[in-house]
Amino acid sequence: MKITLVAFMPLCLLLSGCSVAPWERGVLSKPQMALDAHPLQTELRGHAYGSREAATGSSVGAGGGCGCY
Amino acid sequence: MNVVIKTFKFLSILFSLNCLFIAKVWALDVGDKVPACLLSGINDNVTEIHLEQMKGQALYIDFWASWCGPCVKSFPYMDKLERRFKEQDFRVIAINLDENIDDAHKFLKKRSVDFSVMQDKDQQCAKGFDVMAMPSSYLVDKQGIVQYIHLGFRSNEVSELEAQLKKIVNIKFNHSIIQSII
Amino acid sequence: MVATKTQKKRKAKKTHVSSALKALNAAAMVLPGMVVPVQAAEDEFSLVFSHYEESERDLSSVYTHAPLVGFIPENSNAEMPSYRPIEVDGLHLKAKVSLFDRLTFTGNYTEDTWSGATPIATAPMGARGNRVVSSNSVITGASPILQSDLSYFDAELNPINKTGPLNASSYDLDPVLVHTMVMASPETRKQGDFNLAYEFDNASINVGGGISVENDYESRFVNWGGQIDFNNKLTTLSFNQSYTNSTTSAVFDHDAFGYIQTYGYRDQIVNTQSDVLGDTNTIYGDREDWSTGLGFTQVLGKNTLFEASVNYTNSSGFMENPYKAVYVFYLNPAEVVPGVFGAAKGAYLEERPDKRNQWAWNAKLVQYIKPLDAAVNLSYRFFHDDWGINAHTIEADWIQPLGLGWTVTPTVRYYSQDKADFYHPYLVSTKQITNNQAVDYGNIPEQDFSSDHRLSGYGALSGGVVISKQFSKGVRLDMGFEYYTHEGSLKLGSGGEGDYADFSSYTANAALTVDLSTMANGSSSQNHSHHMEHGTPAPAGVMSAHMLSNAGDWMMGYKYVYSTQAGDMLHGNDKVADQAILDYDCGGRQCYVAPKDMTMHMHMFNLMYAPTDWLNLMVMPTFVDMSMNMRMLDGAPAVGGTGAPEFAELSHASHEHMTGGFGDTQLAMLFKLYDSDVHHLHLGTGFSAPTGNVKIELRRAHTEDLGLIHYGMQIGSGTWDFLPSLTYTGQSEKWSWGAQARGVVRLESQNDVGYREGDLFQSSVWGSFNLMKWLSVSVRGVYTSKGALHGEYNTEHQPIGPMDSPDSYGGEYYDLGFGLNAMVPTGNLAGNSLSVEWLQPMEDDVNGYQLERDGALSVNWGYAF
Repeated sequence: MKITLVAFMPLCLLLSGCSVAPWERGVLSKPQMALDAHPLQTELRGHAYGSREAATGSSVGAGGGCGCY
Repeated sequence: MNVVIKTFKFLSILFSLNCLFIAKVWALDVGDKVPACLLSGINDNVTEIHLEQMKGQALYIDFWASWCGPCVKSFPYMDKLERRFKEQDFRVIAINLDENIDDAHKFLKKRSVDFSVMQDKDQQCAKGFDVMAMPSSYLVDKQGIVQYIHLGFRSNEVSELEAQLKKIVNIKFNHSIIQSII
Repeated sequence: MVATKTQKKRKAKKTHVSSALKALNAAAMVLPGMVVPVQAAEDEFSLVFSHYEESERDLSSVYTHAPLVGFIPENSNAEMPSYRPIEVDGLHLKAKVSLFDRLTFTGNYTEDTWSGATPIATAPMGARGNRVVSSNSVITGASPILQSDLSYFDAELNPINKTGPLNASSYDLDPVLVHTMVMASPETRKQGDFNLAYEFDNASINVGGGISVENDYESRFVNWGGQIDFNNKLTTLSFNQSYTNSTTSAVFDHDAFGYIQTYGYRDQIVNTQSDVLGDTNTIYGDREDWSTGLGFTQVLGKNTLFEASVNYTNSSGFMENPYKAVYVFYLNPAEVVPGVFGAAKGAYLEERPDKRNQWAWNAKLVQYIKPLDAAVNLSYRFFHDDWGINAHTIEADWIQPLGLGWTVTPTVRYYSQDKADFYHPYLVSTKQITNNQAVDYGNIPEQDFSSDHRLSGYGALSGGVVISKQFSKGVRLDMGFEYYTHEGSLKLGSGGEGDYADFSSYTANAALTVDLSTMANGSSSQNHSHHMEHGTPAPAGVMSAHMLSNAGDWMMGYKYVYSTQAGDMLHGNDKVADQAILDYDCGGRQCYVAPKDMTMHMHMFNLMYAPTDWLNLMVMPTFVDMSMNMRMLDGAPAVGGTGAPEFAELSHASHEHMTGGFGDTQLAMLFKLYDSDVHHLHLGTGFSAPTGNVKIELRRAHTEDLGLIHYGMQIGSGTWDFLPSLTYTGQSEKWSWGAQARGVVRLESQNDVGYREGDLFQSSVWGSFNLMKWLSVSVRGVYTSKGALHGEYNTEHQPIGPMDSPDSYGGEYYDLGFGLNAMVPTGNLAGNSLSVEWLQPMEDDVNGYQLERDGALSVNWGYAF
């Protein structure tokens, strides 16, 4: 287990995703940084595209933001 | 093309799951002494508080930031606590963690509060308290021992906090106990 | 394959029969249950208006095959009314409320009304679809039906252009294809859905469902899902599933039924008699869709967010669009001249596989741009299904805050898809036509075939912008605009469909969102109870009964009115028998039908602002949809054959008529004349802007253009109108009361189509009693006097009943209203009020012949902040 930790740690630090502290999420909590900044328009546009295009299945995700409880 | 996408997805998940393996070696727990922590006043650079030296007073320590919704919602409640228990050697200390202190100033201009608002330069207190979420609140008794830790804030989930708080303010500060710990 | 499906016996619905041979509103084919709820914290209400419009299609054949009979010469300026492009007006209401601290309820209501011409099939230009129908050199209509003479092909099955005698040594290839178009009358789709979400500390779960309904398609769906946060919420895993069950019940257009072969659908068609004229044939089909999605979101740094997801959908059942057809050309074995073969044609409804597996992979990056305080979103989606379609979508958005609450977000998007394996613009069979349905059907060279452009190969590029302004008090306005172009040549790689299939569109939308929680609007609950002190809410059916009393106050409200007419026909205050109507002058023609029932749904949204203590400004846009069914009058004379002009209109009248879209918009000012603790008097002056359509037309039927729909089904008045009103309200302890006199005065002598509505005067008196502090009951008496229509349509319309006569509008109406009014004085939702009122008609004294009224229900929600 320890070896795995050592092996993966550099990779992780490279991405520095692990090193964002809870108080460092000020930028991520800004409205423009939301995964979907304009949900009403996204829904409308998705509906219009879905009527004319064969492809379906857009993003499922949620997350990001302020990370508050 | 298909394969490239799948591989890319797999790798990104793998890299990110690594973060789960980095275990926390140490965390602040109920029963620990309040960590050493130097705070300065939010509006000036003169006021200073050493948290670990505030024996004799029960403390409600709350780490907050202007961009944190639940933190903002907890302000009226913290006002209420401060006013209600002030006479019983109790203080609310709200520690601001905004990376850009101007955001905190702008936020406070629109609101007046009865409790102390401090800033944590260099985030030493946040790290000392091992803050894991925003907001985080800690109840420290008059002996300087952490008695209650809570992540987040919801206005109808305060009963446990209030029960602990009532217990803490009713215990009188005892000089002799402190002498033996030091 | 359609032919092997099991038979479904179904009792046909007699009243809900739609006009057919139009493209199915493909919006209904988008599974409505797939939209995932978005995370955000507050209680809020949103209202969205949208408009979508396509460009005209390239119908080269209509112009270039002169001088054959029935065609418009290329330099002619004759109008082609049947090919107006698709337009859709949409309304979306969304409310999100936290029921308890961790439980959030979201409800959505969506309504779209669309009309216009869409392609049903594709053919070589030489086959001359989209031909004009004329009588005495006057164009009376158009038809998608191909010319009945032969088409020509060479030995490689390329179509040949034959405008003159064929020469063995030289003939022109006819490489151009053309869509054959059909126009549709307006159709409305309505959808309601809800979602319940529960939040844990590090996770959440949600469940929801809904239903989407339109004349020929109904869809029911449920969805569920959840998400878990790891790693101090730096990592989020989400999961989502939905199940959709849909039913198609599409009515065949009378024109098309004999022309389009239905052999492949013979087990799914039901024939019934209509209430007006003739019979109808309806196709039934069921469909199921299961969709599963997994998402992964990771914070990559203080300024970066990454998301990846995968989605799998399994669909089975009736996957066809029953308004799309494919032409099959059957070659004669004998050469006309060496190398050239003649071919007779058959038209078939499309047939698709009855299963479809779809995969989509998404990746998205959100990056903060510090110097500009902006965020850039880059996303990519790869789609793959077992119908042979691979599609790529790339999108970039730049969200740029500009300060003072403004944000501008330009977006650009590129999309490219392959054609489906069974996509064919048209087919050629090497077997000769036999005119035996079963044999000819068996000789179609493919088992599955579709000419639906949605399954063709093409690329699409779109660019748009969203402009957003955040006002104080938690109000936000978003305006979006997007231009979209669909072109075969934009496809990645080769194999895109030809230019003939290109089209473009634009959408415009405006959304108003109000944050309902008291924190956001900066006022405490004390303020709200002060608003509420000034009188309990007035009965729901009264307009502008209360003013805002403090400068800087806002109020937004939503009023829904449902009114219905059914039962007997009236003349004056008496019921009349059909015989009297038969002798009446119906717009200069014999009367054949009477309305059987009529319903109207009105959605009115109003925003009120008090710049001073004594003045309120108000704007009120509306969205309306109406439907009407008719019946043949007892003893009506026989209709003179299919050639008679009224035949087409009457066969159209056997279907429910529907109209809908934006209505007129009101702008008003209210002036406080007197205000004390007990009494209040205010004067209103306003204008109604003619933003509602008055040129709605019926679709072509039996090659006849039917022109404008009945006066009563037009959405707006078409004229600028002046709206004066005087309102008095009083209150004392548990009682409150009021009276209002209001009018509508038309400011123009006629609208763009030749008529104007009568002026209106209405007076109301009401009283209400507080049962509890927050709940009151009300009783109201209403008198309305409305004039008949002045003038008449100045362009084509086909009268068949009293609703087509301008004299059969207006009258005097007496109603009694019963209402319940509630308001929230304190707490998280303080400032909200809800009223409901039922208006019961007591007596009608009508002009001409009108259907009696059943009543009207008004629901009014107001929020003062």
